[in-house]
Amino acid sequence: MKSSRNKIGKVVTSFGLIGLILLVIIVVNSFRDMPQQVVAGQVDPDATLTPVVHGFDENSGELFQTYDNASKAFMSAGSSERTLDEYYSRRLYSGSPPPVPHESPEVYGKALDCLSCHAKGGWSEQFKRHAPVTPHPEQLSCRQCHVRKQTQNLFTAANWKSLPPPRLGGAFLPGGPPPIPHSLQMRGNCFTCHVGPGAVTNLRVEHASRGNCRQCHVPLTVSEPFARN
Amino acid sequence: MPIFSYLAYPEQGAKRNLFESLKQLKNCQVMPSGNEELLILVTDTPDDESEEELQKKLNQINTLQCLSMTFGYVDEKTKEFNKR
Amino acid sequence: MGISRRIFIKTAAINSAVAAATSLMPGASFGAWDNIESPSGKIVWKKTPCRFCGTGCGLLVGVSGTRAVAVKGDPNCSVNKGLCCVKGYHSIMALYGKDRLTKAKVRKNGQMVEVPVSEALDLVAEKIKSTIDKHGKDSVAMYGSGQWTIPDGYAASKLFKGCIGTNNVEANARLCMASAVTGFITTFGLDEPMGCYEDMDHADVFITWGNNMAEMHPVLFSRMLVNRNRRKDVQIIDFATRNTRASQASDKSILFKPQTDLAVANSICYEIIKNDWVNWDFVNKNTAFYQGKTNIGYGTEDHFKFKDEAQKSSFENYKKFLEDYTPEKVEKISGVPAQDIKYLAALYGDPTKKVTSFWCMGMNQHTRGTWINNLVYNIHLLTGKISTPGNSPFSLTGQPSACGTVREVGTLTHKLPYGVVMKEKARRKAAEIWNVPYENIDPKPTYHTVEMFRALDRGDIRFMWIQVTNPMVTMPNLNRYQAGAEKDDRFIVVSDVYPTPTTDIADVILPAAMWIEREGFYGNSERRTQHFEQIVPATGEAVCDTWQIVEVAKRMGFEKQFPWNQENYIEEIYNEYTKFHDNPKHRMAPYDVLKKRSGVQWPFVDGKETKWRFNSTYDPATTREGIDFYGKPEGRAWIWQRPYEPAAESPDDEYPFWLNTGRVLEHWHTGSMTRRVSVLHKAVPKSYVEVNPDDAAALGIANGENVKISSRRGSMVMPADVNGRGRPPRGMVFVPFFDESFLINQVTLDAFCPISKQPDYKKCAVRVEKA
Repeated sequence: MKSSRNKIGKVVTSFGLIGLILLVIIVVNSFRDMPQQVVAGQVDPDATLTPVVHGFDENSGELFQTYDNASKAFMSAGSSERTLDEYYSRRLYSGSPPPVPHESPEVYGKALDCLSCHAKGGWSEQFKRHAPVTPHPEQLSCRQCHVRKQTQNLFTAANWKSLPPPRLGGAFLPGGPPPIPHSLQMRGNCFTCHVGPGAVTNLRVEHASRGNCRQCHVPLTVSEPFARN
Repeated sequence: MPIFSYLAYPEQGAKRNLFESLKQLKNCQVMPSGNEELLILVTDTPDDESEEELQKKLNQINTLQCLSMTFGYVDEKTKEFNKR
Repeated sequence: MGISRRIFIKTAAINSAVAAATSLMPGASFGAWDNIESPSGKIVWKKTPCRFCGTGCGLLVGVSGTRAVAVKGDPNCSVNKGLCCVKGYHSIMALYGKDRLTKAKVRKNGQMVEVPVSEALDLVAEKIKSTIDKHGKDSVAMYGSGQWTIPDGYAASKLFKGCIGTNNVEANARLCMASAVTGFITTFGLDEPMGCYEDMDHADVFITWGNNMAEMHPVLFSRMLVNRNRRKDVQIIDFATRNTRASQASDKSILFKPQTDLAVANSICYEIIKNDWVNWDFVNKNTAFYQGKTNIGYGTEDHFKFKDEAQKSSFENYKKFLEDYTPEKVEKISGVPAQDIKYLAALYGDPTKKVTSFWCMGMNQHTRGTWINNLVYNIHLLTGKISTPGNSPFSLTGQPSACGTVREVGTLTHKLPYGVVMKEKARRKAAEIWNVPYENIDPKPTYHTVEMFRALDRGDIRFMWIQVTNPMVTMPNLNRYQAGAEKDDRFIVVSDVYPTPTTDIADVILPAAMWIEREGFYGNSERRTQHFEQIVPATGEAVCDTWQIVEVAKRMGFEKQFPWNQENYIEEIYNEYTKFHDNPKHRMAPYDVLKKRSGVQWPFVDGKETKWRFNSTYDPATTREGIDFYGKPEGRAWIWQRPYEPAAESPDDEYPFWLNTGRVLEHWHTGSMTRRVSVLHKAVPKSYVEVNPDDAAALGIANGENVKISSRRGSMVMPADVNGRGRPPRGMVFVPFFDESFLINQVTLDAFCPISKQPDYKKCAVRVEKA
């Protein structure tokens, strides 16, 4: 059985040291399929979103309102700045609130206005990238959950493990619409994370203009198949 | 003092096993993918003898299906060594 | 080749590999957390109240196999409606610190040696018995916590008060809630708030008294903000001694000098009466006027004794008393502009506005804590803004079960689960339910917390069992109590989940099962009892705190009182405990109901929760229409004449600054749990001292530079935080107490409220200099 398996890799390895005497850098980056680049200076100021305050799963009316309000520029903007790895590297389990990854000084005498960037998104001159849009702009006390890191060290070692983040895709049939692998609680407004220039590249959908996301994409709430009692 | 990085493909269902085996090797850093059957292996050996030693050990791991190099760096000393 | 260059090349190597991987498998991730391989990959969600503060948020803990792997807010819980704070979202990570205590340890020849848990329990039982034989029953003590679950506190009280017969049972809630309790008892005759969190959805004005809710009760604070945003005409007024995140988010921030809240509260009442904003129908029917002793002392000396005496007064007397508190006079004492006092009075006095007041440690950790609680109730009573939706004087609690365990079970020296030890009826009831001789229960209270640690220092107490708390960080004037606990011939048992400065002084360490590693109940700020089942297995040989007590009780020969087995002892204990409260004023929901729901508020009568007490529309215990304060005679709440008296120690030439201490959002109490949560530790890795920028400039201190803070009791060198998240006014510094490397309580003063015996951690005099 073993011999029938692909051994090419091991062959490459064996020859690796002898064969690659000269400095070899395989620049894999050039092979990546780059989505449409958004270049600073050519930023469309209309590529923002006005999400309607969205509660849980049941408020789908608000999803349609967000869709109606979304600018064309936002709907069609490509995204290339955020990778899924960056996204998950900020979270301690799938669904945990990420810390604030940038400077957010305490400003004496006035409340810090995170929402001025994260409610609608849009280009940030300061960070040279598009601000991601929060799916829960109705929550106003941002730093209650999103804290700023002051150190990378730990107090004591930890033994934390969680489940792997969900795979992308996961359609039940080839070419079928993938189901929603995450909880909709506080993340029920699809447009904020899956559309627009601030979206994580791999999570962005190309067909946002269809609007009615939940017509095809359904939440996965149970993993067992149906069975009669 | 070469530095290489590879994509390591485990035999079917043996990701955890492979991860454990690779972790025990000296001069290796392993990052398993959270959601795919795939690991990243970075090797950083102090000299060429230990690099050869490591390569031998890698060859002996039977849960490793395929190793493909994505990055390589070899400094001057190594180049000279290999010319001999 | 330099190290940094090597790291750079390695990073490039990793980046190329990641890029190659994602080009082959889009969406492949190499996440920061270590993944478990679960056979099903499935998460089962289980409900529990949060481990941390007294808000009592409902959490859903995601479990995969035997591990907790994720958290979300419980949308079915009316407390938080699906939202948590950063501590709640990462709470389960506190279960998985590498240095969890997993084995019992016993001090042998000065060294802590691992032993089987049963051997440690044998030693504990033997030591209690031998200490009693040698020094009497009042030489052994139990010191617990508002983080005790209800069965923990109940078992402790039954063993010590019922079986051993000593009233040496106290809990750290004495340091956090005692003034709230005495405030309630003296004004209403019954403990715990009349309102509930739903008040926030009705109130037009929120006034927070010395309360940084944005950090201490973040979920409630954001509910307030959401209300202000949705309803537009809602106002939040922050009344405090220091500018905080809560001040910054409020519509108006009013600063007062420490301790002068007493004068301002009286001044507000003066204005209410002067402008005839008094709700006379309410006052005539539902209130009575009283006065108590004045110049009542501060309790800084050993064996301090005080007993208040209530004297009947009248509205006329009260009005005359308030003449010392005109806004103009109070402006001089408090530094609050007279017009701001008038503004506050106008908000309370406006009959069209529903007003909710919130407070927590600012008013409770106060040498006149009982008084200031009384005075804020006065404002709500004069205007009749109480016990109706949106009108609520709301005393928030700090710990998850300060109400449930300490206040309701009564794990304080003078308390029993129902009533106080001084009352024969209460003792008879306890003796009957506990199945102990009536004579066993001592009618005399012994030591409150501060005095208990003084007794340990003096040698009146020789044995102390500490559960779920870390007094070697939290006691004020800590140097004395550290030295006392370390004296020879003191035997300290500590049950905890991580090593702390308190386990450092222990003779026996018992590893405790934490939170959802065992079954239990908490009771939150709004009279909500919350059940949680055992969700994950206990770590190592850790044992539930309740079961530790049961095992020791059995070893001491109290099998009859502790007959339970490990299968269902939590349920059995709960059923026995609720017999104490089987009346319409405090009936609690049955076990089965609690198991199903995300918390139930008491009184729970005929299958219905009571949201607003003392109001006949909601409360089945009322005996007349409208409002009935049935805890006091004739259903009348007491309006107390309480004067302004200065703090125990105020700044002077030698020690010119106020020292204020408290918490930060990211850390829970002494950080023994939250510092082991990576994201929380990374956000606030160590303590600091907040200094006003002008003071810092005058003292030549730049942000981050070391500062020496000294008081008459001790000193501490720590980094300055200038223009950080909080800004004290000139003449005050603020230090968070979570960091065991900077034991700020070695500097604080152990003065307390003579009525509640709760120490004041917010006020003492210090010198501040560049280190």
